[in-house]
Amino acid sequence: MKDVYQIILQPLITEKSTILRESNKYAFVVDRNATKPQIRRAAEELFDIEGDILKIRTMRVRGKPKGKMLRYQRGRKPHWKKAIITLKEGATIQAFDTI
Amino acid sequence: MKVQIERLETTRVRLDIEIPSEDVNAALAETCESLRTQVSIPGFRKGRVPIAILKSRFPEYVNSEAVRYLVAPAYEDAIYNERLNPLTQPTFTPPLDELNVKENEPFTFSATVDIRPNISLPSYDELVTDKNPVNVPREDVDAYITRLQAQSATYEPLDVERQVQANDCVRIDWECLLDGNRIDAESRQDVDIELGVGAIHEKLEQALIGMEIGDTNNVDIDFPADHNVAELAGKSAQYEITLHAITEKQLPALDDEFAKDLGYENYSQLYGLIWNNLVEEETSLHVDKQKAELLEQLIEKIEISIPDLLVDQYVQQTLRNVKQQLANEHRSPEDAGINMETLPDELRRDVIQQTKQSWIFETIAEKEGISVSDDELEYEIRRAAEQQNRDAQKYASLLKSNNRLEDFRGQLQHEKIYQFLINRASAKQSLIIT
Repeated sequence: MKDVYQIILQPLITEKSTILRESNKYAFVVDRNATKPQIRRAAEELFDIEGDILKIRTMRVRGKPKGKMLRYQRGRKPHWKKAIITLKEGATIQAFDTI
Repeated sequence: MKVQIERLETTRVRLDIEIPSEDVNAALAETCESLRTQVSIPGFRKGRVPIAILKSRFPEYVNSEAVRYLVAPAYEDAIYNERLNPLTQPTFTPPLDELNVKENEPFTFSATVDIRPNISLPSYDELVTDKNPVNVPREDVDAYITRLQAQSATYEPLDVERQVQANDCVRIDWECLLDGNRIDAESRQDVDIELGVGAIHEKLEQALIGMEIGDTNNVDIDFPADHNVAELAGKSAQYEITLHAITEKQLPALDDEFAKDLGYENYSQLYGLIWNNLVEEETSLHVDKQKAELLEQLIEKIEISIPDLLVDQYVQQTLRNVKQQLANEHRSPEDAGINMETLPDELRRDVIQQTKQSWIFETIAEKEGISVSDDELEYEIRRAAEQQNRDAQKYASLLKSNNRLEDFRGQLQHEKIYQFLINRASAKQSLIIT
């Protein structure tokens, strides 16, 4: 099994994710092949929130094209996977709050 | 805001200032708000970064800005509310860059400044000054009028055939020749001269004695190197004098006619006005003397220690200015007549004297409530403008634009203080026994 640090890669801090925090949702960049159960276990272990996770939604984000056409091929940023973890009411992810 | 004042020395105080937590939070919010518009953080549009994130990303910046935002106004407020007049820039403890602003907590710091010491004024009647009214004797007025009379004297040629004697009056021409060239500015025609009163060069006078009407005589005169006519200084010039007539000096009679010639209505008005003017002159001299005496006594009687730091700062500042000025004009101190070695000591003495005076006057003004109201200021401006033949409005706006208005007010206040002191001081024991 992959290491937890290789499943949850980094917190996703953007305007949108900040708004989501109001409804107790936390956004992360996760491994592209990680599954919801894997993310759930990794999060529980990383942030010490066993049993607090209500649900996890994931989506694959296509990397944006970048640069110019180069020999009929355009470069692009890598695709990645976003996970939004919804916690039960009252639970928090401490690490996230101090960023 | 809570302020506690502690006197450290006679001229130093420490202000302990505590700012309540609401103001601290407001300051932090303000700082973040201004920072927010400047930074761009990935994931956020400009100006949309949450404050929490700013605080965690730029803690030092937020802190130092908030300190700046809080300390200066709080210090100024404290100074203002406690009616302190700081003389130097404050020193903060702990230093500003070591202060920490914490949210929801009151913020405390201390500032140490030099202030004017409390001056205990002597009782005013200990001051002594000459309070005798000024006295202008009739003789002075007479002497003044005699001078006027002499100025409008006329010279009538005498019908005599004799040589010029000492104390005669003569009508002559003279030409000044330098290396054979005529100097127009120094040559005269038909001038009336009274001998024996030093009106002309003594060599010329000597040459005149013994001359007869129509005679011409030549005199060589060596001028000293510092003669006030530059062309002649240090040179030897030849004077050619021609005697036209021996004359008699005729003084006008001191009557209404004489007064009218001088633009007065009659002789008694002339006499009265001259007397008035002399009295006024004498009075202003007398008042100046009184002021000087009183100031000297005040400075002598009042023990004041002036913070060395203050004196040093001033001396250094002035020295820098002087050097800068000289450098701008490309002159060396010697050219400008400044002795760089004694200058610091002179400045030091001056600043001590001036500081003492201004402190004493400030204290008197506070204690006695002497101040200059806007109305008085306006009145005095109008008066000063009239004296200088200027439009009062323009004069006022000129003062305002040069930031001189407050200086003007200060001068008036000093005047008033002097007047107050003169009124309250004891009269000097009069030596004249009547």
